[in-house]
Amino acid sequence: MRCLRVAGLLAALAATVPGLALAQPADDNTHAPGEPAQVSIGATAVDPANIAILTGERVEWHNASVRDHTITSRDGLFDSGVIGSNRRFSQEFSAGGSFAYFCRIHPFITGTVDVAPVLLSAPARSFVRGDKVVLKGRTHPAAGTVGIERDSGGGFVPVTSVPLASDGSFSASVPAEGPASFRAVSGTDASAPVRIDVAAARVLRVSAVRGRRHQVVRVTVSPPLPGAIVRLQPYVKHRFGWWTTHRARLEHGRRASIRLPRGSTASVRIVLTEPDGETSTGVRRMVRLPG
Amino acid sequence: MIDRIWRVPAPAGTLRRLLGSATAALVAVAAAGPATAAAVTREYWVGATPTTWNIVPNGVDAILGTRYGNETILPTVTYRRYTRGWKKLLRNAPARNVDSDRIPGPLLHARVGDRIVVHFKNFDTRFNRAHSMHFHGVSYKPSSDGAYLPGFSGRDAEVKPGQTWTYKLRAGPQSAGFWPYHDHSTSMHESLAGGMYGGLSIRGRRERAPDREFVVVLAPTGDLQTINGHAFVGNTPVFSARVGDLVQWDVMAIGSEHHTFHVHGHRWLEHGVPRDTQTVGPAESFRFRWREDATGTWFYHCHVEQHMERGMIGIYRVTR
Repeated sequence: MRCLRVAGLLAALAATVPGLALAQPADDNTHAPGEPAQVSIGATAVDPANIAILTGERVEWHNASVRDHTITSRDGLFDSGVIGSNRRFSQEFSAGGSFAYFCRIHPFITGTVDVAPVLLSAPARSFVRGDKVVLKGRTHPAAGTVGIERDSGGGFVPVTSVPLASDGSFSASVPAEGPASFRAVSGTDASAPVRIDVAAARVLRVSAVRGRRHQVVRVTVSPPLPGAIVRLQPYVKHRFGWWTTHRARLEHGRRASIRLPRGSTASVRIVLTEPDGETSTGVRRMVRLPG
Repeated sequence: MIDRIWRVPAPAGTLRRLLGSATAALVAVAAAGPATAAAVTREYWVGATPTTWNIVPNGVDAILGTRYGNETILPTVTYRRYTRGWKKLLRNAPARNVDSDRIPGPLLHARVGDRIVVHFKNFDTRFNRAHSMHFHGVSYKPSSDGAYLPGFSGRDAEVKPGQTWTYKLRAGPQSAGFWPYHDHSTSMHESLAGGMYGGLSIRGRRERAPDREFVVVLAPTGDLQTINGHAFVGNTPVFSARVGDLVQWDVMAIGSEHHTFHVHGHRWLEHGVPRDTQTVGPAESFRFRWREDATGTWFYHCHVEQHMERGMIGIYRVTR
């Protein structure tokens, strides 16, 4: 029940924050085919706390702490017994579903294993109309291809089909046209839907104030773009265009300040780029420096 | 022990105030080097560091009016200069903007007779490729060659991500001049295409330092022909000098094509013969000097027309 309450809280939070994609359980597809997905048990928590695997795969818990622990299903489906320090326990999941578990010795240690024939996840970041959303997932490789379907309010309709890699993983790029749910379909199986909220546009607010020794350009971005960079560009004749003189990374993806020497009254351009610092988001705004 | 200070000409008015803070920091970083002609050991700390590079940051070929967008941006790995122990990343060269700092790699200075010790670390977590440094124009043992040969070369030629190697070089009597260095590991082809090269500038024992030193690396980058990794006027370096300055140009080519380097309104001597255009092939290099006396805004470019049209052109500004 705790698991359901947390999931409900996350869903409510996502509904109130425009552009926030609901975080998906980690698909531990880093393990080799045939090898179990790995979860580490610490002194006070498991990592990752939520993991998604394909039907028929195993999860292996490794007790990396010095304490004893158990991995115990809340539904009574499995119980590891006491796992000593540096010992392991594994469990195969042959049926789909969400399986919550806890430690009987330390009940505050909880986790879930989500099991499905097709897994799908989206980046936990904000989107605006025109962005590309990269959906990633995994299924049993024999399927060959998976279909990606979108539900914008009238039911799921196919949008694209992508081939599977030899390990069953896939990646699909779809345009962010508006709020929608996506799912991946393989034969008669479908992944759990992934919700993407899309704001109409990313807004850049810019102000410039004069201090005693410096002037400061303040930038705020909505919805946030984690890791993004803003560039300050005056127009430079011998550069034949707008030329970056200062750049700053957004704090929490929301705001940045750029300090400049006093005196300049030029109009400058503020450009928002992706976290790589180069790829323009197309969002820019002019501001006149106070001098 | 100040050898020379990179002098950055002061831009006028509003722009100077905007650019001023960045410029001051650069001068402080670059003002290092021995003052006398006595042979010394010069240590450099260099890393192969992932970055994202825009070949056309102003987004335009201003001469033909062609616009460019995000298609000129590429993820790559370049040589970067660090403080001792790779503790802090430095700018490769003094520049008054944030877009001309990673290609080419740091300009390594020495004098004939010096020992040059280059501590190299591979930070390439983007492509997870091995890298190396191979130096032209200097003497070294095979363990500092940095060139991969299966069964013969050692760790110097294949420095894996997270690993380090120290290259020990000597600038001998035949080393005076400007020379390339570049990746010569198993990933050489991809590295050179992405800008992983730089230059060694070695002066004679009694040779004075120039007032201005301009590095020009002619190389293809992506689909464009570039100078120091950038294409088209305004994006390529905007070199500046004043009348009376002793100006030195360091020119080299990387890639598989020959270039003809030309500067408008100026001539220099090659073996006593006046020239205003000089051919340079892959991994070849040359340097020349003049005492500046011609004010104006001048072109410099590769005179292979297809290269010039694809971006291998820049401007040089001379003021009184």
